Amino acid sequence: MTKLRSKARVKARMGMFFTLPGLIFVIAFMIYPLFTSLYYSFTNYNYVYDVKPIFNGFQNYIAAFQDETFVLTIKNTLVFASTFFVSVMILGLVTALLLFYFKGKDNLYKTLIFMPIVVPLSLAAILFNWIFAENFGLLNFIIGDVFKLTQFTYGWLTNRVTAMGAIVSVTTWSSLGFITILFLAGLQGISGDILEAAKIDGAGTIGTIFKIILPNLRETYVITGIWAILRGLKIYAPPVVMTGGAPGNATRVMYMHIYDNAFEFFEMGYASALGFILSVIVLSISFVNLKINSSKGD
Amino acid sequence: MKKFFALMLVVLILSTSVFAAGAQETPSADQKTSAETKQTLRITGLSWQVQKIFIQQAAEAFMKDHPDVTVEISTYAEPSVVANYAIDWSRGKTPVDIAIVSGAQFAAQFVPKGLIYDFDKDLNFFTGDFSKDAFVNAGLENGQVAGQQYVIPLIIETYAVVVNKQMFKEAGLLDRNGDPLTPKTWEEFYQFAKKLTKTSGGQVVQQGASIQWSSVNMYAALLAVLRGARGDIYGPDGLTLAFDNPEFREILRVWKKGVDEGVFSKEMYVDNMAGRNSLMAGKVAMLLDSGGRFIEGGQTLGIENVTVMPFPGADTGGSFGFGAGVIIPKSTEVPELAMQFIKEQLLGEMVQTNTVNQYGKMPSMLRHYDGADAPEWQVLKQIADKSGAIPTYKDFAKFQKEAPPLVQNYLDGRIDLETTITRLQNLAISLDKSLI
Repeated sequence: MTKLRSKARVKARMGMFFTLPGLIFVIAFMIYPLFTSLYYSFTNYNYVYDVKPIFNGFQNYIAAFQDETFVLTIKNTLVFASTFFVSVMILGLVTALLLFYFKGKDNLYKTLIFMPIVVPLSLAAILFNWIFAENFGLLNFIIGDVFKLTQFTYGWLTNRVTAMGAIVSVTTWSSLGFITILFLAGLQGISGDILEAAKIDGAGTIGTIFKIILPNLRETYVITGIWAILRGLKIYAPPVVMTGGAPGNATRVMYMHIYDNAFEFFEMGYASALGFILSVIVLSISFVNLKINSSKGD
Repeated sequence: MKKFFALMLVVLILSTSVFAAGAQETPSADQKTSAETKQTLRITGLSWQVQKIFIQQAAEAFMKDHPDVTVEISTYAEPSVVANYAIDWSRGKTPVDIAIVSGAQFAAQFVPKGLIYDFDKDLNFFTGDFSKDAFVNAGLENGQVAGQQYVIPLIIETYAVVVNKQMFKEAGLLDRNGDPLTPKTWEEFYQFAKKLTKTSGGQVVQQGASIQWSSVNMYAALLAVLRGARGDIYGPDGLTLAFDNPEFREILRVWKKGVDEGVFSKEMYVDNMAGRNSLMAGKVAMLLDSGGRFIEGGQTLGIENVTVMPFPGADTGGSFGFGAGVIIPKSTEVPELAMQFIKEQLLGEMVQTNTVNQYGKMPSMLRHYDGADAPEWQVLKQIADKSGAIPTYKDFAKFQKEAPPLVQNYLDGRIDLETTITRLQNLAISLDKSLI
């Protein structure tokens, strides 16, 4: 027994030794900045012009909700995130089901569907900027010059609604592959016996999908849902590259406002407060997603 | 236990090997002497600055002339990288000896903590062929913080109207000499744009005018037209930007009329390069942007088919001047070498004439305009001479971010003119004007 306990202690020590580098990294680059940022959020601190932070309590948090632009960015971010969430989850699920049911050249299709994920989102945004451009863009060229439907050419990025739609479509295009793969993994995790039994009982494809497959993907919804929520709420590159927040702040999102306050205006205290407000929103919505998709009796 | 100690031994050996590999080999006496006499000069800039200011070529020429010097060039992805150099500079260290920046408004952040050199007081830069008279005034002004010269200008640009001559000819807007007519008022500018606009199937296929209305650069267009209209951008106190006046109201009113009728394009709301690209694609007749864009337009349309003219008021009141220049951090060990490189190469003929002829970036020194090929540079120099730089307010970045959405919302009809003027003026008043 003593020998066993001694071996266990050695193993435990070795385990700690191996986790030490990772732990140091996490403390140095995640825990310490997190708490420093939390401290700054309660201070008035312009890191270029101020010698040191000055404690001001909750003033930054109060000012955030009195800041019309910040409140607008919350609304824009939620609009984007909800639209993106719905589109990517539905399209991802449909694509995964198609791949699941129509086997054959599925490796080729999987590759094609997954390829956009390897394109950096900022690069994708630059490409789509050229596609959606009003006077020299590919989309208007195809509509106007190829199909001769000039009446349908449009300023896709200079209209408030279509600008947001363009950003959602770029982000969905970029994310679809990853979500599809996650759903596909979930589908392949469903026991073949259940599907076989459903087939024997006379269930059609649609019935099988809605009554057997979708309910059994609950755990997958948790993972894909959290991923989509995070990607939606933390959106930054596409609106910065494609619209710069225009027209008239219609596509200005929270991350842009936080970045501007931190690195353009150097107001680190205020920006830290904005960052924590975003964190609370992200955590709250993630928690709701988790609760909705938790199975009863788990 | 044995296994544990064996593992610790392996880790110890590996760690020792890593440290040994990283340790510097002690140089021989000859090597030491060579290292001590060879100096290194480190310069950094944005990628486009390094390319368009011919930094690589300048470095090669300098190293050829000075074999004891190594010039190392690096690029930074975006301006906040340079802002973070302040951390090193405040500790007496620096990863660079020369940094190319946009101008005094950017450099101002380093001034309160004394992190960069005043070229006049600290380095006595303006001597001999490099006296202040030898520079374009707008360039020098763009490098001054509270009247002190912290940035040496390398290139300058000024806002003007780039014109597609062929479209003007088709619209019958030429004078007796066959040159494009210059609109004298904003109403005339709108009338010209209306004549130059072509539609097909209810859609605009040739835009009359495109104006720099992007989130990134609209502030420049606003300051340019304000100065052109009034000869000054400030109110009676000489500090606060003045938008609440009849001249600026008229400009906004005409802009909105142009947008409502599809005569002025909104493409630059979302892409500050869209106007330039449309000009190059032969889709726009007049582009109100940096005057140097005519060189880029000439690349696709033919240089004989593009020209430059002042926007209404610019020829008398001036425009907005900006550009790029260099700063030297006080923590550099080679300030004299840095100054030598700036004078010999960056302000030398090779860089100053190539940058204007190939990329449309005007020289900051007057004598190099003789080497500028196109006659349009004389037009732009005259405008630049009357132009002013952006205010070096502590809070000017807030104006740059918050003014464009206001004007865009007005042009889209979401807010009325008076609300726009009131909000713009209140924004101007609210800015912290220290450091000016």
